[in-house]
This record gives sequence, C-alpha cells and structure tokens, in this order.
Amino acid sequence: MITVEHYLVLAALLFCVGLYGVLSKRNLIAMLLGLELMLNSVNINLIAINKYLAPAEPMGHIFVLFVILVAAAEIAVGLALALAIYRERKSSDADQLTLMRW
Amino acid sequence: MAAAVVFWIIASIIIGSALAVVLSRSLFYSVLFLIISFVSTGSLFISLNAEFVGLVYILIYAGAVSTLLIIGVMLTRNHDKKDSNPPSKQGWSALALVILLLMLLSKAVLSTVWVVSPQALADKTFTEMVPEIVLVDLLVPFQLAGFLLLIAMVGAIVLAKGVDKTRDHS
Repeated sequence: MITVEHYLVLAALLFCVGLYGVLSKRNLIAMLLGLELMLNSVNINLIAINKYLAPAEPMGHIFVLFVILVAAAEIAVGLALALAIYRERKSSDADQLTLMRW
Repeated sequence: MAAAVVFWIIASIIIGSALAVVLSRSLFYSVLFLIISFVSTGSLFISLNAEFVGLVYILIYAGAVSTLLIIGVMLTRNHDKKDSNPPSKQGWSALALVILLLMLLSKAVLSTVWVVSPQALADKTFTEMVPEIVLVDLLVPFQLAGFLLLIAMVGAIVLAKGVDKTRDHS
C-alpha cells in the first residue's frame, strides 16, 4: 500500500540529491542540472498532494504547469549566463569565479 | 499491489539516475542520466492520474530542456572530456548539510498527520479539467506566464549574444 508519505519522502530524497549536486559541483552547467532535480522533486510533491489530499480539483497540476514554465525560463537564462561566463573566462568552473568575492 | 510495484520501480529509477547525475565525472553522461530521471518522473505522474502533466513533462523536459542542456554542454567544452564534471572543494560539508536536511525533511513528513481524502483512491482522470481551468479560469495568469517566458527568452538571447565589439557606441 503506497501512501502519500512514500511520495513525500521520495521527493525529499530527490531534493537532497539535487541540493548536493548544486553544492558539490564545480561546473556551472552541473549546478544547473542539480537545480532541475530540485524542481523535479517539488513537482512530485505537488502532484502527490493533489491526488491524496485534495482530489476534487486539479490545482496541483496547474501549479506544476507553471513551475515547468518558470523552470524553462530559468534554464534558458542560466545557460545563457554560463555561456557568457565561459566566453569571457574560457572556463565554466565556479570555484575560479572570484569576481564578486568580498 | 501492482501500484506498489510500479511505485518502487519508478522511484528506484528516479533516485538512481539522480545519483548518477550528481556523481558522474563526465558532464555529458550527467545530462543523459538527467533525461532518464525526467522520463521516469513523467511516468510517475502518469501513475498518479496526472496524464496531461506527465506527457507535458516528457515533451518539455526530455525533449526541449535536455536538448538545450546538451548544446550548452557542447558549447562550453573543456579540454578533458572524461573529467569534465569534477567535485568542488566543499564536497564533504555539502554532504553533511544534505544528510541533515534529509533527516529534517523526513522527520517533518513522517510526524505530520496527513488527512487523506476519502475519494483519493478513485481512479479519475483530470485530463479534461486541466485545460479548461487553465484557459477559462486562469487565463490572465496563463498569458502573464507566457509573457514572462518571452521576457526570459529575450534576456537569454541578449546574454548569450554578448557585446558586439565591432560596433562603436558613439
């Protein structure tokens, strides 16, 4: 019997894997991949809660559609930033990106 | 029973491919594993009676976003392809932080009493209701979201194009 807790723990695990990817990678695009995993886990939460706790209306589905839209905008802008940084410095290594270090 | 088997298979594929995304040393393989993760998340949505969202997920993420990411990976290619995705210096502190966060989140999930709706297990589909709500009740937010996407695309083009050095700014 699969309950709503299974989905929520799965989403928490996926969120943590994505957060580890963002924090522990040097490449800017690898950090973007971690962000995508975190957004994925949020969408799993929304769909599972919609099905188990409020199945009358598909409001979670609508939320997921908007999250997909914002994520697409985020990935486009993030990749453009990574390309601009790469062209400027010939490297996409976040550890070498000390321009704004205080 | 069949639903439980489907859940465990899809969940193990999602977590396994997410771990492969994070741990792979080659950036190109990371993106390929990310596509597997997206497709299996889409099939998890389909198993949760969210067919429309699941198909949109596979279409947009596995189709469009991953193509964009692969092109980005190829344009920012490093000299060493095998070791293009190295871990950074703060790997161990990141691991400790993530384990603490996972313990906190699972404690929060498991100690909450979730009031499951009695009609939750009914096998109903939302495929007709989702477009109706989006295009009738939420038309203005939907248009605004499209406008946001337009602004983001124009900004991404400007950022990726860079400054034209041959043009004089007099």
